[in-house]
Amino acid sequence: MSSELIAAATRKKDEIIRKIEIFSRCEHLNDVRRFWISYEPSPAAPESVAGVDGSNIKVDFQGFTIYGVAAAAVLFRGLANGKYESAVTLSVADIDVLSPPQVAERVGLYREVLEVKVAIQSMLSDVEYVLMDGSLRSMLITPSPLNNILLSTILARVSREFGDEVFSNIEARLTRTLRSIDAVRNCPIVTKEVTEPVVYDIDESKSQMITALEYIEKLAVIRRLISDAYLNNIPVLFISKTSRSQTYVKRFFKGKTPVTDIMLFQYLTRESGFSKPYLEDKPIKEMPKVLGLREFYDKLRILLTYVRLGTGEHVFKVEIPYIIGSSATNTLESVVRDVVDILKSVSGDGYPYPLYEAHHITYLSREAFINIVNALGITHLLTGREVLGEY
Amino acid sequence: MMESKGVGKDLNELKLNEIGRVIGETSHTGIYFTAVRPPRVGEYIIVEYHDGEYVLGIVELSKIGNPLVSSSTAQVDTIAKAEAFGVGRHDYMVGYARLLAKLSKLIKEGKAETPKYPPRPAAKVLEASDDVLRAVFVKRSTDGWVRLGNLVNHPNVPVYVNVKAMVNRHLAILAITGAGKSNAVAVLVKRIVDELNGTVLIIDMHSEYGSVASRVNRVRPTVNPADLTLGEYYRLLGLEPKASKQRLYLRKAYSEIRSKSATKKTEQFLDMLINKVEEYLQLSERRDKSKKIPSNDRGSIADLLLKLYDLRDRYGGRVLSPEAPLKLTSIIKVGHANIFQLGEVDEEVADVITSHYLRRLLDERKRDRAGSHGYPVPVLLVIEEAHVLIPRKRVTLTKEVVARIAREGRKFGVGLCLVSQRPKNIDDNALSQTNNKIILKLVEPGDQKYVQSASETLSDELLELLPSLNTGEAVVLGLMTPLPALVKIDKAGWKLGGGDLPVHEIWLNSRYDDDGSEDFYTEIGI
Repeated sequence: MSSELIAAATRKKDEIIRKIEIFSRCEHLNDVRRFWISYEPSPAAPESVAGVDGSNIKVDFQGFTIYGVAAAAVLFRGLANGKYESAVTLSVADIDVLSPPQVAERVGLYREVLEVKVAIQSMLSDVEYVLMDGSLRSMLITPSPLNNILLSTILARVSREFGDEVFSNIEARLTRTLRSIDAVRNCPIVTKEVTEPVVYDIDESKSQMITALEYIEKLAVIRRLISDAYLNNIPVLFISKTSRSQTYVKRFFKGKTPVTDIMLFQYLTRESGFSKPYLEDKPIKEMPKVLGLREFYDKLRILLTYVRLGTGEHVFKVEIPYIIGSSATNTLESVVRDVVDILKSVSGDGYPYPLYEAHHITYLSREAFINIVNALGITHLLTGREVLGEY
Repeated sequence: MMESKGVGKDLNELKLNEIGRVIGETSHTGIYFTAVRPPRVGEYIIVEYHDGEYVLGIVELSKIGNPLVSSSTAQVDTIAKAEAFGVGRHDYMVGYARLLAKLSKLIKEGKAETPKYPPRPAAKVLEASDDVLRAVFVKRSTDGWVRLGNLVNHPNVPVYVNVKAMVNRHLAILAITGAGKSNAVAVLVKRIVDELNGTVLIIDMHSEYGSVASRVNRVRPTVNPADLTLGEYYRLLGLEPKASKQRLYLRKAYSEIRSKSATKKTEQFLDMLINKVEEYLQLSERRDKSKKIPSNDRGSIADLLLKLYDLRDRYGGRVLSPEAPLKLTSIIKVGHANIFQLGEVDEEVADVITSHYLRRLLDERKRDRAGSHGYPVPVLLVIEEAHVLIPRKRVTLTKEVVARIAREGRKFGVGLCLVSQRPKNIDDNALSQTNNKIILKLVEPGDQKYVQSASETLSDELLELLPSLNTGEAVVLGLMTPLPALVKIDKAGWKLGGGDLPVHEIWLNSRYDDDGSEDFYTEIGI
């Protein structure tokens, strides 16, 4: 097969290069520089900092899926002589069964919920900064299938099926389980407990309803994270290594181009610094009118910037939650400068070390997960890939 | 067999420290294990089997890793930052241990029985305590064991080697120069002679061995020229096969004298040989038709004669002497460390002398075993610079005899101990017959691979260890040791002649006194 691929590559070489050039071509080089603020960070190491990341994996059997999710917050405290004397890991993991549809989206949602929950736990442990791996915007707008169907329609069906009290049940259980990391471990996803009786006779409609409830749980815990952060004056920074966001491209350059923001700044700038901070002027999305979520998210904005910590290093995206009327009155640029100084102090090779360690701690390898699945004793069940000699 | 303190109890009662757990797929020959501290290469561990069996293993590989500091982490600043966040707490330690023997049988019966099935993953890996190891390695001299040294990783545990297995299955001591070969020989010889009343013959190519034992017999060996075979004369005279005419005339002279000398005294054998060749030369110069030697051969005969003159001038009376003792026991004394000092003769002569006496020794031992009068006791034969006398790519007389001893010595009580700093240049037939090995520091990869190919039990991991051994440290393998061991060999307690010269001290302590007298050249007017 590889010989066929080599033949195709030879045949299409020029075409492929031409297509790639479209990505790297930009008519707005000078404009990009207008939006890039060169800045040499002055590292200011915090006394304590937490890095949060998560991981998910699944094995699809014929008719159902076994998934695993894990999230961890690594807390570094006790800065003395440039070294953190204490490192504590708060971690949660879960393994369970799901049936189609929307399995991949739901597993991703569970991971995000667990990440936010361990982040909330880290703030109970006297931490100055919380660094989250991933995009806040992405967390708030996914799973995407729910965007294609009117969420309010599904939630109305939820009320009919489960009763209005299902929402307050979720919130009450959330409040209870967020009191300690052990409580989170005992009940990683509260929606599952609320909806457990229906999972055995599930159809597509019920699946949509349960996904909607899980989405409500996610919105509720993110609200709790951001609220606690504001209450305790703990900055929470969402950091993305990769991003398909085109906020700058679309808004400032008006170009119909496949180029993403991160590519633009990565390839057309070189110095350390950050892009001019961008604060959205309207809510991210119209959120559901349950549990007061609409009111909260109507006031939430995301302060967006792209950051490079050293000349020639990688650019990454930073999102900072911003609540209208509650957030600090500093200029956006000065807020970002402070953030860049903090990030520089905890970074090696242009990327925050707490996130690097959290990533390694939570990484679930396929090999390890299959070993766990084997240990469950269900290897006699078919995945359908056995005919290929795979599992 | 000595029973060490505490090992008579059930191992469960010994409260051995747990060092780690078995990980990954296991086999009956080896395991990987994760450990709470870096395992030390050469250290012994005990693996707890699920059926209650305990198996002793030796650590052959030790690694420390950290998933957050991978080999692709190229920036020093990145690592420094990771260190600031205490990345070291993610260090993991992994060892590989070769499984050697079931512990209970090893201690109770002294037999190393390897397990036939693997331990389970997650099985406990325990530190082998000094008490356990003493029960394995400490033996009594009355049972034929002599002390060699201590375990490198367990310095309180002495290591004994079995002399019977050493003599019957032969031994090789291999190392680079200065790593402690001669010391190892000296330690073994002293203990074999002093503690077991053993008989040892050392072929000392550099005359470096002194008082290695309380009973030493230093010999500048001589050979009666009448006892030498024709092949030995070829070798002494350097007559290669292509020197066919010289060989032919030597054979002719040798045969003629042999046929006559049976009734005559043999004292003048070399002179008679020379006289005979002189006759041939004169015959070749005669012009009458009755002469039997073609004049064309005159050059070859003259060359042969010159070589015989040289031989007589250099070694006549000193090495080739009619006074050479006839009885082997007067040369190789029973219960002594007998040292053939060959530092003053060249390789060909050393080869002839060595092969001559080894052949006699083997023949006499055969006679003794057959009930006839022969050499009365087994002998351990130590051949220093084995790569010179038993080379891989050349033919020597000693090589042929050693090959016989390697094959037959076990039956007749002649044990070989080959000592060399260039193992890859030793004849592979001889080296592969040495079941026992004491391998000190070896650096040259060719030597290492050659030794491995000649050894049944030298794993790749132990092979990698050889270049990093310190002076006096050795991997000890074979039937003479209860288990493969990493040993710090005892010091012999006397100074060897073969060590490095203290050059700077000699220079600093020397004085040049100009006494005003004229030097040799001035005296003779040059």
